[in-house]
Amino acid sequence: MESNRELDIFLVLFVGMAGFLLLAGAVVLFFMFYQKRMLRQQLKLSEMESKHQEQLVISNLRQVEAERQRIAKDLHDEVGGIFSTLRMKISSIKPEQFSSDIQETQRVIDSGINSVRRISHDLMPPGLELFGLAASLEDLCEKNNADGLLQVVYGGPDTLNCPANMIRDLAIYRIVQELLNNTIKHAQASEVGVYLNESPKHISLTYKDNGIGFDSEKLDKIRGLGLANLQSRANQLGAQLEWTHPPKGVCVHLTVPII
Amino acid sequence: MIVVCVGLAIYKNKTLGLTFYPILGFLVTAFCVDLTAYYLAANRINNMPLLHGYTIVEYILLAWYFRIVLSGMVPRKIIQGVSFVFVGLAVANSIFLQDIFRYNTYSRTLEGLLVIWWCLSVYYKILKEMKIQRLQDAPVFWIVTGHFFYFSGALLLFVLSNSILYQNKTLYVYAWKLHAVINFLHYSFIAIGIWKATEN
Repeated sequence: MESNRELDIFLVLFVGMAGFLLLAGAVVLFFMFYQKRMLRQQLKLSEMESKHQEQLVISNLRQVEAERQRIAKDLHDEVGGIFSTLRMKISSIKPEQFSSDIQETQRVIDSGINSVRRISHDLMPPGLELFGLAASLEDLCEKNNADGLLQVVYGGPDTLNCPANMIRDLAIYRIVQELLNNTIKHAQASEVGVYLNESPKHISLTYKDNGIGFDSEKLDKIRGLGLANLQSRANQLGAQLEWTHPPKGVCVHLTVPII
Repeated sequence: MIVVCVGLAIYKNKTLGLTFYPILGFLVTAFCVDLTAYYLAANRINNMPLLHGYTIVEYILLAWYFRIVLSGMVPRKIIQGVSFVFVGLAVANSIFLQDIFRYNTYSRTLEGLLVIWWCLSVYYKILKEMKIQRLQDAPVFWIVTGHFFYFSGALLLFVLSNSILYQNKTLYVYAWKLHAVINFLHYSFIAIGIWKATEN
């Protein structure tokens, strides 16, 4: 009887120790499997992130290439054409029509100067360095107003208090330019609002149009609208770019940290 | 096995970084205490007072190790505070509750539970940080798992040690042989951990 009791105690002890050991083993195995699973998920996420980055780089390259093609076309069609016309004019000047030919030549030269200025302004907004971001955005809005097809309203300060930063300011300017291009090309809008705000730590920009808008679920499929390029520019600034969809049109919020 | 671990730890001490000293301290203390306990037992002298002291020193060294491994997740003051409380309780236990010539089941059990808790905290930290890509190559995983297996497996023995001794001495010896097997596993894992540190 006594020996049976002792055997029971030993059995309890042995089974208990083995049980605890097995439990510890199960915990360690669970931990190992869970860690592996989390690693796989992390890897998947980083792959998606790198794929996204790759798409942004490709989009950037395409944008640069498109810009080069546009400049080449402008130079060829406008400036090249003007010089050809000028050459013809000069070779056909007659003494009896000297005065009127000179006037015509001056007109062609003026047209050439204007073309060069426009191409140069497209490459680098002229007022950005001199007058700052706020004035340049206002100017951009006024230029688009001048066409009469779209009413573009600028709301914001005349100048920003934070120190100018050409890279940041140019990127914000380009984002607004791209948004305006999208509105003109695709949105069928009649009104656009560009609102600039400044806080001690951020510059925030709100862009609204009253066009047809687009389905946010199809955002990934319409990267051709230059949206990837906008995101890429925002990423370079460490900024947040948010899209909201009011009942009509599109609303974009850009928050750029002041460094 | 302890000698192997000590040899490995000294062989490539630089790769163990800050954890080298607590690991070496733990191994050397265990080795010295084992030798002394064996000598005392061979001369029929009760070696339990040695275990009372060893429990405190072992916990302090393990807490030192876990303080380094858990840095950034558990504030060092918490580990130090728990260590002070443990040392206080263990000393009080040896003076007032359990005779130093008997097995210190209370201190040993509390130590086991605390170490199991720290081990689980290390696993949680590894999952949270996800800095370790291959667990099988991480010294911390092997060393902590060694401690985890040992203290989980031997916890019941710590609790029941005195009861078994008074029931049957033969069973008591068998139980401690079982403990020796778990302890072998313990030091084997530590040895692998130290060896992996040399590979990094």
